Amino acid sequence: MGKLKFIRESECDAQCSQALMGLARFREDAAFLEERMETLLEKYGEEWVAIYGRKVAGHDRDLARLTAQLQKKDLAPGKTVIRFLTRRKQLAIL
Amino acid sequence: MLIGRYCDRGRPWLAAVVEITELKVTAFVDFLVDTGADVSMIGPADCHRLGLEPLVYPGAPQVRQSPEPVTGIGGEVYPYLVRARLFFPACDSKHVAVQTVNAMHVVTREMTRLTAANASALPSILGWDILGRFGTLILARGEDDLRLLAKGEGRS
Repeated sequence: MGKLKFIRESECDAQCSQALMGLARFREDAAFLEERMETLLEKYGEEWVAIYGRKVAGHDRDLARLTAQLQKKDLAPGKTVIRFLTRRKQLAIL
Repeated sequence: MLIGRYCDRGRPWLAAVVEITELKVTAFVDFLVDTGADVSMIGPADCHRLGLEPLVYPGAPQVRQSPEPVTGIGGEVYPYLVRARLFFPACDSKHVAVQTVNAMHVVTREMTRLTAANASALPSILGWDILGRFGTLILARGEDDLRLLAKGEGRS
């Protein structure tokens, strides 16, 4: 484990800076999903749903099929909010 | 100072850029802040989302399997270990916290033998190995306040 460092954003390389900008969008998309959860559950309950740019970018019952859908649209699944929507109580002890 | 959020039934989350250079992966991950977890982990659904599943297999270059099991309520798994860098933007938008993790635990869906739906209930986790690098963790859900402060940073 390396040491925790705080660096200036300007010290980030180009790839890192671009990724950090994308992370802000990712967080907004996650917030969008939370805000619209009830509506999304009605439409896409028991499905995996992808949100990109505050829009539903895809949905499927199978996660692998959903990530394939996203790749066809040139969206990187790793940079997209993807969540399984269910009304079932999923209590977790981690 | 890093600021997280409460969502998904009020659970504490912190988002990060995860860079696994050796596997050419840069992605975004929402981590559940778990002060009871010894180590941080990329969970099964995120493992698939990040495209790690075909990259982490026994004998894959740059990937090791943990020689020791990680134990949870469902039993034991032997996660894959990858070297990762995590970037957390600070709330002042000018600084970034960077943490290199030499052995980030990666748990695949196949490892957990959970259904896809149940695997979704196993999020990626920010455990004590990373949380402990910070000076202060504020978890005040009633005040909607989730902050991670660097060592020596004031709480005001």
